Parts: sequence; structure tokens; C-alpha cells
Amino acid sequence: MISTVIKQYDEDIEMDYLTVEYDDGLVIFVPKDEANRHYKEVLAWVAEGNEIGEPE
Amino acid sequence: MTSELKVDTISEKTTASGVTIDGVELKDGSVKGNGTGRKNYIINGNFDIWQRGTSFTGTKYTADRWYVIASGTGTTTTSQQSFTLGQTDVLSEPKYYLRIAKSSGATSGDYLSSKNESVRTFAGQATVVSFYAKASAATTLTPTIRQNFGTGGSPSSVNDAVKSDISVTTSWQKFTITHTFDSISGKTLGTANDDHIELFFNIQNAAGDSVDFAQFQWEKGSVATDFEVRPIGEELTLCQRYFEVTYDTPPSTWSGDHYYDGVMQVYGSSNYIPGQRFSVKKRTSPTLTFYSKTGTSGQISYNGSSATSVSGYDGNAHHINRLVIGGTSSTNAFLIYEADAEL
Repeated sequence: MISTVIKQYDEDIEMDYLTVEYDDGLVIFVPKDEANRHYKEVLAWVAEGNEIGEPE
Repeated sequence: MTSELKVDTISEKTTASGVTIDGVELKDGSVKGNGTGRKNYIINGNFDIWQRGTSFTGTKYTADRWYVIASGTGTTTTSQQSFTLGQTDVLSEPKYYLRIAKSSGATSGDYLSSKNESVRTFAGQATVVSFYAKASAATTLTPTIRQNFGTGGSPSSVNDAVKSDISVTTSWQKFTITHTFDSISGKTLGTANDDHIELFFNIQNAAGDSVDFAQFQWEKGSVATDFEVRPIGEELTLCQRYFEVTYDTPPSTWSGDHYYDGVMQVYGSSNYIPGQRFSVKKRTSPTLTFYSKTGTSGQISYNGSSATSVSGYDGNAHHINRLVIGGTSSTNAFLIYEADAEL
């Protein structure tokens, strides 16, 4: 299960990948590409009412 | 004296249903084209490639290109099993087979799935799937063949063909499934470029029981032919379009320092680590998972024993462009990663 999804920035420019962390601690980098199965999982997670966050 | 006969077609005079030839002698590799090579459309049908590891629990990709969906209750364990050298139950001396086992007290219903890129595959054509299976206790498999038109936009609905149940016994048996795909004329593809065909089995594996699978082949025509054994390197390359790693054993099994499972990169800036090309261009932009040399995801190890979190990543289907890190005083890092572009 996804626990958090965070945007990525290089200096002030938003990057094309998201940092996704799961409940078990696994951290992956997911492209904003609808052909990517993990991005589909992120979109489903957002559709459930969750929000993509900003880095701390 | 020699003679030569050249014709465009040979057909039966009365019914045109075919011609039976008692014997044909082939010389000098003179038969070419479909049916004589690259006939198996399933990648890793022989279960030779296991980049992710050799034992898995729950729903996930297991052997390369093979996805297991754990359903019902209890624990589903998928594992690599080895054939005994010289066994003759399954032909061509395969090395491995795949086992799906249910824990005691569980209820059944797991799925085993193989997806092939592009719904154009086999469209309008007759095909046959062949494979071997056995189980620890007699059980039933329900196969389904699916045409999936993808996601994004307004694609056509999936087209499922549920095939006849297959009764599996405690001995290896070869099974075949014939299927003629519907034409895709008039259908609409999704915009995400992820359309595909899929073969999946619903497995009625009872509590404490296991089901074993070997040598899947999916080919054109209605008659299953001998299994096509491909070189390991070729099979690995086919798999790497969808998934590749830098390590030999998965990080979840590590103890100690595995810096040698990464590619050492020298970098001049304290904020970026340079990338590298993938072994094979991926189907689409892959998901990247980076590991420290002790197996912590989301981190990169550098000189000495330290590791740092990766705060950003950039790349495409060809390569890793760069990793953004918080900044270190080091100039060497170990790129340990997996790149996943599975369907």
C-alpha cells in the first residue's frame, strides 16, 4: 500500500518523477507516464482522495 | 537427371482442406519463415530468468514476465524449483519450473498471468498455448485469454475468452489451449500505449497445496509444436525490455556490504550523481528503485560506509540521466538499482 507520494525538484524546477513510499518502507521513483504501472497505481491512490505532497 | 517443380500453391482438389505429405526431406536449411524459429511469443516461458529473486510471497512479479496475484485467504508463495538432471517427464531438459503454493488453512483462487505487449499480437489469428503442469493434489485451472486495448482516452473494453477448465494431476502432463483471436478492426486503442494480450489462469489451489508450471509456449496455428529453447542470453535480453537490475541477488536477502552489486560512478558535483544507459531500452519510462550497499531503498552509498537519500531522479526509457542528492563531500557513488517497465 502507498503511504506517501512526493514531488521532486532540482533546485526550483519540478522533475518528471515522483517519490513513492510504501507502508513497508520501500521507496521508488515513478515517472509521470500513464504507460507506467506504478504511475497508474499513484493515479488510483489520488482518485481515492489522497494528495501528492511537496518535499520538506 | 534432375527436375524441379515450382508452384504457387498446393491444395486438395475436392475440399481444399489440406494436403498430407508422408515425408519431406529438407536440405541446406531451405525452409524459412514463420514456424521455424522465434515461434514462442511468451517471454521466459522456460522459467530460465529470475532477476527479482527465487522466492516471493503475495501479489507481485516473480520469475521474469510472470505475475502472480494472491487471492483468497492465507499466504501465497511463488518459488523457483529445479528439475532433476536427466528427468524425462518434461522434454528438452528444462532447468527450472515455477511453483505456486498456498499455506495451510487458506482458501484458493490465485492467478498466474503473462502479458504480451500490443493487442495487435495474434489479432484475427489461430493460436495454441502449450505448457506442462502438475500439483501436490489434483486441482483445476481455469484459463482466460484477454485482448486489452489499454488505458487513457476511451479505449475499447477488454475482450475475454474463458477457456475450458484444465484438470491437473500429481504427475507432469502437457496441456494445450487453442484460441482464435478476434479481429481488432473497428476497435479503439487507449492513449497510454499499454495495450496488450494476456494469458492468465485462475488456480483452485487448496490449503497446503501447490501447483507447478513449466515450458509455456504460445504460437500461431492450431497444433502445438516442440518447445522452442532459446539461448539464455537472448531470453535475458527479451526480459530486460521490461525489467533489469544491477545486482545478482535481491537486496532483501543481503547481509553485509554489497557495493559490488552497483556501478561505481565518479562525479564532480556534490549535488548530482551521473547516470548510465540501461542494457536494453525499456518499453516505457521505467520505475527506478535505488539501493544503498546494505539494501536500503531510496538511498545511494558513496565512499566509505555512508549513504545518502536520493531526492530526485531524471531519465527516460534509454538511460538514467542523473540522481539528485542532498550533497556530499565524496566523489564516488555506487549505482545499485532496478528499473521496472512491466505492463
